[in-house]
Amino acid sequence: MDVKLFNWSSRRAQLARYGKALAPWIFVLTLLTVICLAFGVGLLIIGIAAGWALVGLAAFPAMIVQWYTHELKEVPIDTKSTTIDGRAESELLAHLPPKPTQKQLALILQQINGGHFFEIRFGIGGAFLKEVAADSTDGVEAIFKEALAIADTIDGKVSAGALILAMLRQLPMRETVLGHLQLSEDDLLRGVEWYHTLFRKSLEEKKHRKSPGGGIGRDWSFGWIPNLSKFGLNVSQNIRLAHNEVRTETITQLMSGLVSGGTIALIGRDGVGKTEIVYELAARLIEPDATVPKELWYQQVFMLDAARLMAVAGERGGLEGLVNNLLGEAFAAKNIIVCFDNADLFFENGVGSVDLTALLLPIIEAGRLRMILTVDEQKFLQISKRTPALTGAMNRIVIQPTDEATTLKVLEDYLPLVEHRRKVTVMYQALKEAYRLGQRYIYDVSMPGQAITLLEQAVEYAENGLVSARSVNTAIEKTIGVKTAAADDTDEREMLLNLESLIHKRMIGQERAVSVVSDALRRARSGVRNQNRPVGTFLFLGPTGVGKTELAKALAEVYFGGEQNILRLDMNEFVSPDDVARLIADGAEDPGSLTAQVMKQPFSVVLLDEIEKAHSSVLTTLLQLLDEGILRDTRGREISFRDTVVIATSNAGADRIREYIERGYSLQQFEESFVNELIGSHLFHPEFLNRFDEIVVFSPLSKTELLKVVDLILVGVNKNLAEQKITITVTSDAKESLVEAGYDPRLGARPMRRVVQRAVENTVAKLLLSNEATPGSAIEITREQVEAILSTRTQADAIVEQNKNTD
Amino acid sequence: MFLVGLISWWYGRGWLGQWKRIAERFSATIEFFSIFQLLSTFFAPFRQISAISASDGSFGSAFRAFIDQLISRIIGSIVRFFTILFGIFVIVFQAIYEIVIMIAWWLVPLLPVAGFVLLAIGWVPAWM
Repeated sequence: MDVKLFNWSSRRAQLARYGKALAPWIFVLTLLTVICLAFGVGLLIIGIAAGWALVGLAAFPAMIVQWYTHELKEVPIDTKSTTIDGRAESELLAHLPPKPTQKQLALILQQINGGHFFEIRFGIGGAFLKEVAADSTDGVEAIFKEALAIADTIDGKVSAGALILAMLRQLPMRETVLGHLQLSEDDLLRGVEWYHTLFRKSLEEKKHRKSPGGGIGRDWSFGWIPNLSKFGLNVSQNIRLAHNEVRTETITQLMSGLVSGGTIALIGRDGVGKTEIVYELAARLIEPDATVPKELWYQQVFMLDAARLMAVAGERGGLEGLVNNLLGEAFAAKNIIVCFDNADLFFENGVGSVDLTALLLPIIEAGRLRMILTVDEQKFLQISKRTPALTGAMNRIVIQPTDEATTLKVLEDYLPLVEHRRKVTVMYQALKEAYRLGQRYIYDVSMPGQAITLLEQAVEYAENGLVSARSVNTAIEKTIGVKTAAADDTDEREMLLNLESLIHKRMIGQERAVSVVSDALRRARSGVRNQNRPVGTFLFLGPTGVGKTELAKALAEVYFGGEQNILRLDMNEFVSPDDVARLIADGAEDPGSLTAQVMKQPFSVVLLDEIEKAHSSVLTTLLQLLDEGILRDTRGREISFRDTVVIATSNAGADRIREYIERGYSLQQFEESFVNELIGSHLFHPEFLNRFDEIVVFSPLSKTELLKVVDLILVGVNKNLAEQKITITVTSDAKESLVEAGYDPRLGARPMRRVVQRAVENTVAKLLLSNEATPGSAIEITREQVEAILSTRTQADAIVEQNKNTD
Repeated sequence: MFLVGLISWWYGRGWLGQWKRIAERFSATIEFFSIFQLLSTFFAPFRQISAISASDGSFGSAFRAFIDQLISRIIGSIVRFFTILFGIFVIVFQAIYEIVIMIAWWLVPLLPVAGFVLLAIGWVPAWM
């Protein structure tokens, strides 16, 4: 090993090893010091000179304890050094032998805190690396160089995480390993930063003073606040020790706004962290550093809660008097910032809210009292519409939802709280998954609230105290019934591989349609599809009764686990521009709207029946759904359709299809030209048709296929008769009779089921009543028997008509 | 090697570190007594007591507010003066303590030798 890269004998390496050797003895040494001093002084008191020796000897362990506490425990790194012994974290350095092999490095990682951190949080560490690392010093130099390069990109410290990443980068199969762990190198780099931040925060917290900043005379220049203390929440007394390092710019903006006085409105959707920003501000002001303007030093933030004030104030006039009194007290005190959390509750009359506009408007306009209002963006617009003067007098700071990197930071900060409270450990993959799935499936709040909500739910599904990406997936699956994880279950793999045959168990023919739909699902579940679109979007064209709706139902049953997972919209109910509102209505107003249904059941087949009848405005609205897999509801929320299969059906051009078939063309021969004709007919806009993954033409069923349909129906009839222990079979010529009676050129195979059921069930009923058949017998139905029931085509039609009327 | 390391740290980085810690302790004491804060607000009304009385604009009420504020300022300056004075006393005592510690720091490594010398002499303080 080149000593320029790692010098085992360097002073820092030596100190680190002393620290490691002394760590278990520090308590004993401290005790020894105390005992020597106590006995030494004791002996001197009773006049024995040997006490001097004990007092003198006490100095030695005392000096060692001092040395350990102030230097050896954590030997500071030399950021200018270019060697491992100058830059490695103390614990790691102490374990390194003079010429370490790769395997020894892996074993060291198993023993130190940083290694444990990665092992648990990321699922990678010494345990895995020791299996793949060579038991030689070859390659260690390259690992050390890589670790130093990684450390250079962060804070210069070579920690266990940096070493793990460096070792991983030397592995030829690193991509496979990372893929298996659902991680990227960037994730591991983030992990190194995360560990360094935690380490730094733990050191800061140890140094943190227990008493509040400012000392005993801090508030003597400020007024008494007996009522505010009673009715408000002093946020400054509830600060967290570990400050969040996100949204620093917003806090700075907020502070500079407060310096100039007046009211600031923090505007943003629920869950974006408005209240958290107020808490962060309070923490910064009560423990000010050089970045906090002097004018705001030791200012305290009091939060007023509408419900609590109303409860104590009694009648309306009392509430106004109380709020007036509180604000007067805050103004006189000169060190109070009043925060109205969910401020909209103070500007509207309703349950749990009260309109104090008349009282607050002049105070806000005067701008002499520092106030913060947190308010939802929609509510702010409503207030602005109602009382423009009010919102005009405020400075506005809009809080946007956080991006992925910031959300992960927020979650990392939030983890200690969850882990301590719920006694679990959360993996990094769970944080990433919480962000990904929270963004897609949690609608009522924004980031980072979405991810936090999901993570809290995922804790319930921790396995052996560990919250992994699977726990987050399970939380989503259990709470909103969405399958999110990539297919890994053997049964599901089998189902996907045999999707066509499974669909054909309940559907005859239309091989191409079944095939394209199956391919789309396989792409989705294997994770290779575009995640920002629906699983599949299909336009099914063809005459009535050829299996378009049946395929949608078969899909819902086979893939989504039941026919109930189909959201069916008859588009002939959306024939005017006004119907767009019904399509995207808020669930609270119309639970039957498309967006509301998909919110509740996002893992479904969306069946848009008779799409050609919908108004063009409705079709335009659907463009975004087909293109990006989202639809905005009337509240502006983005509803995800990215787990749905969207199927639009249309009878458009049915006559033309029949014409092609009658002229002897096969589906493959005319499909393309038929679609071109459809585009040319201007029934649909080309941009609408282009949004579909596939336009599938269904051809009328052939006689052979119709016979198979009869077989399929008979399986169902036999299932119904299973309770009577009766089995029926139908002769081939009888089946042909059924096909002849049940097929209608206008309605396709649709009447077939009723005709077959009626013919067979009537025959069986007659046989049972005449005792010609008893439970347990096998009945063969012949052509004659069928014809006896359906003797003429007219009779069959009558049955159909009768059934129609019954419906 | 271990002993050399210990002694060289004790009289080198350990000694400098001790100065740093003393500075931190002084800073904490000064902050505890809010000395700079109290000096900068020495004549400010104590607890803003005067702010409670509202003026209706008349000469009488303005005069009364002025007197209230004057009394509040006088009370404030007296309280602050004694707090600062007490803080200074504490700081002086702390300084003496820290000086003793810093001197003792230099002598600690000599204690084992001194202890054995005194043992050899056999001297024990008479009052003991």
